[in-house]
Amino acid sequence: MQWVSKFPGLTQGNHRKTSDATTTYNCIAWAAGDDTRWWSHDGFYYWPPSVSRGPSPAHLVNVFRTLGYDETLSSDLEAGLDKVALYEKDGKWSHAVRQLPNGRWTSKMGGAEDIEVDRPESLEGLEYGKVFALMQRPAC
Amino acid sequence: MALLLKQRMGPQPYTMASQTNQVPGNDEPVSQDFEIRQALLRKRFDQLAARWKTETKLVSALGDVFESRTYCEIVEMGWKVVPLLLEALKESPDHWFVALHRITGHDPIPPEHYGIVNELVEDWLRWGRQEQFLS
Repeated sequence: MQWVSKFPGLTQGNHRKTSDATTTYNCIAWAAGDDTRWWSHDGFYYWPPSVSRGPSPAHLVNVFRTLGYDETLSSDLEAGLDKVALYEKDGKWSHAVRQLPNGRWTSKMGGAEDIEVDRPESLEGLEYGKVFALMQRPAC
Repeated sequence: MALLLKQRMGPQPYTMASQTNQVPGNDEPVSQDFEIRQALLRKRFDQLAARWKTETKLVSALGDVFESRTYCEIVEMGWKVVPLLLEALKESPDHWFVALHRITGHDPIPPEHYGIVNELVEDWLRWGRQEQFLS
């Protein structure tokens, strides 16, 4: 994973690779629990039909609202709750990660691999910008 | 396919090779010239495609990807790069769908395939076979 150096918050001890690289799905799909499609507001890609397509952070929040998520302030592991963290860069949504039952977070890195990381902030930086929203829903 | 490409690419610039090697009634030198152009085109495409993949490997939101200078440079190569884009898709699925759409103006993808990368690939390869870009 040559790209790791692009993330100053990633250290040898705080993440691990959990899949091979694939262009089948992306981070939004993965955070939404879908490993069969690439979700993006651009033409030819999947976007929930009830949500208007667009690049703003609000568009991405609406995607997860349609999946039953609401905003929260805590990224702590809480029994009975699924959580996602959403990222924005330069005023546009850029990335999403989903919390695992062990409290760590799973992240599909664009067209590269899945990784498991200790906390959402470890992926902040020039590539994905910053976490702008945490959302939660009752666990499925 | 070479003939088809020549037709789609329009008139070829007048070159020293075609000027000096043309034998009346024999278009072989023009074919050689065409082959050289194709080799150069492939080299340029391979360079740009490799650069684009490196630049965008980690990106999920594709809007910026499709507006990147490298991607636009590939689109600006026009119809002549279509066979190379289709070959690249055949080799390994990647986000060449928008480039193909921008160049050709065609949209062979039914909405139910949106986001299913393997289906998007198949839709474009089917179009490529119909249009005789692929055998």
